Amino acid sequence: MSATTTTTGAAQSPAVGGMRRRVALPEKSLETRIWQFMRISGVALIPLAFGHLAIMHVINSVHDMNLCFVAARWDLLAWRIYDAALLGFAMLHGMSGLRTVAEDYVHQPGLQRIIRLAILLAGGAVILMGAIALIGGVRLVDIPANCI
Amino acid sequence: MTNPVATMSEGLRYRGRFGQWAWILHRVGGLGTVLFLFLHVIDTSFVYFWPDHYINWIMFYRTWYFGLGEIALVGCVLYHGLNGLRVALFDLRPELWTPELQQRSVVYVAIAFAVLFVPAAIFMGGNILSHLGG
Repeated sequence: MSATTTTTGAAQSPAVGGMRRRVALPEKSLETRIWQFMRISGVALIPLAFGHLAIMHVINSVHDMNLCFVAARWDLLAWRIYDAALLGFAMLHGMSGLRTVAEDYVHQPGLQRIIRLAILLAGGAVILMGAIALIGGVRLVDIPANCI
Repeated sequence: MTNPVATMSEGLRYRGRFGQWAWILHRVGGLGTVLFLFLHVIDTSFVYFWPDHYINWIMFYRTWYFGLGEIALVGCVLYHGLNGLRVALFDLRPELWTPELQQRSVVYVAIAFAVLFVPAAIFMGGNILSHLGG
């Protein structure tokens, strides 16, 4: 695939009638980058999201969940990095997907701009909340000593 | 704006078979996942912003009806992920793009989904039952 990913250089098109045609690929547009991001983040999310579900929603469950559990989990930096990767990839992937779905049904450019802006603002706020919590950690004065 | 009812009925009327069903489920699974994702990031961020109220979310999540929703969530993520992998693979390897393999790959996704989802759903369902009434 590397031959087709150069931004300005010529790439070989599939052989047609035994001939190979050289065509210049256009600059990658923002939409192309978003399309690429959806593939890359999607593949990255397979281990991240499947692993999260298996560990936090199947093996452990909401009945094991409390502040103490979160504090103990986030005591290990690796889990915070894992959760940060999941937060970033999942939110951006989901926001982009929401936009794709919305623009399949809403066709006025003005309305599409408003929807894109709303998704960006809402998604950005949620990412920010998640990031602050990941960095700040569990904020409770009286976490039991045997908790961590 | 396209009428959502018309969108739904046309979606059912158009007989795109395997590929179209895979696409509809991909959309439903993605939407279900992203809606819960927004909520889930906010509830987890309570451990920093409003730690005293974190347990209130968890108590709601412990209800049997949310438990059923959680099983649906696992189904959404599993299907969306497996089918997304199929889509990404065909994008990366366009030479695999034959109608026969397109259809067969949808069946492969359905099999892989069943293999992962059924045990998870049984396990989670058992967990809900074991916590009923206490």
